Amino acid sequence: MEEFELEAGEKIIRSVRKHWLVFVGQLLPFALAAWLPIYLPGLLASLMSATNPNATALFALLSFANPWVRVFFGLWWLSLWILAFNTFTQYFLNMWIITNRRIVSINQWGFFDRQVSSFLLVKVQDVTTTVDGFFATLFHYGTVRAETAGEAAPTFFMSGIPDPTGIRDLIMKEIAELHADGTPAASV
Amino acid sequence: MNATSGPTLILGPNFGTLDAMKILSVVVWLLFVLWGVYTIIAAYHWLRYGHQSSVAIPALVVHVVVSLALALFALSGFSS
Repeated sequence: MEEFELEAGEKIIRSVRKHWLVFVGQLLPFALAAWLPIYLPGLLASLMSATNPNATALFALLSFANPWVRVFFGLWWLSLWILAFNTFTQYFLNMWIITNRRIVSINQWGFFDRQVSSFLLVKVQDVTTTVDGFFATLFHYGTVRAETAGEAAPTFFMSGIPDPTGIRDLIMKEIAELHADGTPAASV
Repeated sequence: MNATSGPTLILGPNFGTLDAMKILSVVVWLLFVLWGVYTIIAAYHWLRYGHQSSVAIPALVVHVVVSLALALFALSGFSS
């Protein structure tokens, strides 16, 4: 791993990304934006044809036979493709890595804004899961929130995680094993 | 200044002589440079932070292939 080194005796238990449905939901605006310019001219032509007889002929020019229309659509779709690929990159690079000692949270906010933080399982006081909404309940994804000890200690959370209760149980199980073993905590 | 000279002056005396194809080629080159910079940055992140995943290379290949296909589609009207 580029972001962190595993300590001696430390092993990765599970890596978690957001649920695929969350990613699909993020792609929907791009699909809509790609389809809208195809649909709009026809709709406008049908609406305006009642008042302006030339409207249909005018909008007929906006076909793919017109090279400038192809330029517009090609560049528009290319822009949307780049944005969609950017969304996929963020989806793929954002993850939680659960080891038997700690949780590593990797957040890629943008290409030049990357945050990698890890928190020790022995410091985790509470793990909360939230499944909120119709699709989240149906497809079983939600938010996992881990609170660590200490006044200044932050709360780590990741939304849109598949099987949040399973993740919570896994974290709690690793914490229990850690306390049972009395294994010294890995340095961060 | 008469009534018909207004728009010409606003757009500049040489506006009528601008070649649409030259403007298009400049825009396309500009977009190509931006796309190239974006692709290099994206590839760097995928290869460095992609968690050694087998998805990284196929994802970048798909990105390049789809981008080129869309660029070719955009310019296909001027090929003949």
